[in-house]
Amino acid sequence: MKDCNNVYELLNYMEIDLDDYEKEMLSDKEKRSLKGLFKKKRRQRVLMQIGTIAAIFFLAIGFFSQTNLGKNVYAAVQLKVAEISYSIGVSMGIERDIEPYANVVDQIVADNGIEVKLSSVIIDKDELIFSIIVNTNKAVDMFRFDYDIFINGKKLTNYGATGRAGSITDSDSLFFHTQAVDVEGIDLKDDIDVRIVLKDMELITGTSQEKRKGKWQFDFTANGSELTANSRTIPIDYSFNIDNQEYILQEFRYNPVNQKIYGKVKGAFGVRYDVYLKGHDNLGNEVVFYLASVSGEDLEFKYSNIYSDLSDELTSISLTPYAAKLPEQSGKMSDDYRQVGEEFIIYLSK
Amino acid sequence: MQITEDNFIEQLKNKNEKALEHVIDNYGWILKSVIKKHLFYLPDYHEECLNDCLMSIWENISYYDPKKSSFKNWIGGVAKYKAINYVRKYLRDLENENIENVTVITEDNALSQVLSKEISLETKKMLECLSEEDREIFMKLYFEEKNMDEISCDTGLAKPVLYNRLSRGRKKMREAFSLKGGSSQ
Repeated sequence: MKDCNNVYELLNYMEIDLDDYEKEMLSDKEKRSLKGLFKKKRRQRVLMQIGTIAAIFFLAIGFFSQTNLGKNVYAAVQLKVAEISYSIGVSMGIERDIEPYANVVDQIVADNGIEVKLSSVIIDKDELIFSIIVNTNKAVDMFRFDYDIFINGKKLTNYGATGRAGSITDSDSLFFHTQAVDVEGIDLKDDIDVRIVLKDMELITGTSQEKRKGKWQFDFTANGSELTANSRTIPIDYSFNIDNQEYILQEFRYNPVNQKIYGKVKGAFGVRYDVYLKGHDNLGNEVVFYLASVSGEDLEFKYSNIYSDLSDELTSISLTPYAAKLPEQSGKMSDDYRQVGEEFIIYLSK
Repeated sequence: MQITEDNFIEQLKNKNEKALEHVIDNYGWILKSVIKKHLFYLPDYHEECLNDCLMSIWENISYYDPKKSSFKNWIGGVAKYKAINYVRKYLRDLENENIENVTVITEDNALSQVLSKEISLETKKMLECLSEEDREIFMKLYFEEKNMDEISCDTGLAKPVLYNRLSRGRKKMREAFSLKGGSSQ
């Protein structure tokens, strides 16, 4: 008889008499909220928001590669990653098929015990998105890494980035990771030469961190013309004020990968605020755009697909701005969001 | 793929989020009912516990065995187990807080007594087919999440004896459960 050391297995043998409980139904609102929160929580678990300058991690194969045994092990590992493909769309949490806009790279580099496969890259306006699969070759909770990016031979400096990562089929050694890097003025029409160098991997298990020095370099060309051809831009003429600052929304640009609202923020910089735009589309779906970046006077709101992709069928979006003060020192974010402007509508049809 | 009553377990195991949504739509009431009862005095924890249950179902669905238990019974157990753990954690935090603040709040004491009694009763119910001694071991292992070394130290029993007791206890639970017809849908 198989023993069970997990309480969830043991629960198969415990009787819960539901008649002992007063039946409490979930309202539709509660159901929607639970579904949304679950997606969010699940994403947070796999998410490694890497804020501005990204960090990464990798594993060590060095020892193994010194021996015949190691070579066999390494060969097996390489085969393992080579056989894995993981959609960049799934990696980014996008439900619709965005593979037609991805540049397939599929290069594998192993160093110091860690194997990395650069699967694909997407070029969008002011953004380079790359998707990797990492085999840490060791059970870990998560990993981090640093990286350098060169475009047409020029190294990017002072760029912002966000990342999303998670384990592949609940593995504790195989992970996907997608990184969206801000690249101002990236060429969207022609091929560009890209070099991505991952370095200084950190493997994290519980509270312990193991550093793995290494270099995982990928050279390839990429092109954003297909996605650009499927992008649309709608002008917006709307503004709202928070304290002494004016937020001017100028343009909604959308394509199958990204949906963003661009604008400017003007006026004396005072208290820092977290701002988002919330509303619904003409189909009744809730829509949220969060403030993704502020650089000088430029600002960018990005559609948050926590609930689902922005529908392909929509013809208009109604949004209202909300804001809450950011804590002056590090600490818990206030939940005290207040409406800071009137509702406005973006029409997508025609 | 359309999620139905026939395939949602399999799809949950395949990590299809739509299957979890099916659980929320069709079985969410069980979680809410169980949580509301066991966390009656702690309404602030209802939502968190409910979300926690869903995440646990998502992560531990592989342990659910439809041949041994109905899904309703299993997730009812998940909700009860989670709710009891929330009460336990609340009591632990309260105890730490009282130690730090020295001032003991009478109201908190009264509530903690009620809650302590309740979780003791409820865990006892869940493990009712076991002897007092075995129940204590199960509670330490599964509810207090202690390891075998700690349990051995707490109880004074050698680890081989503990393994033997656990094995015997599980067998008893399986037999008791199958006698009650617990696997029926």
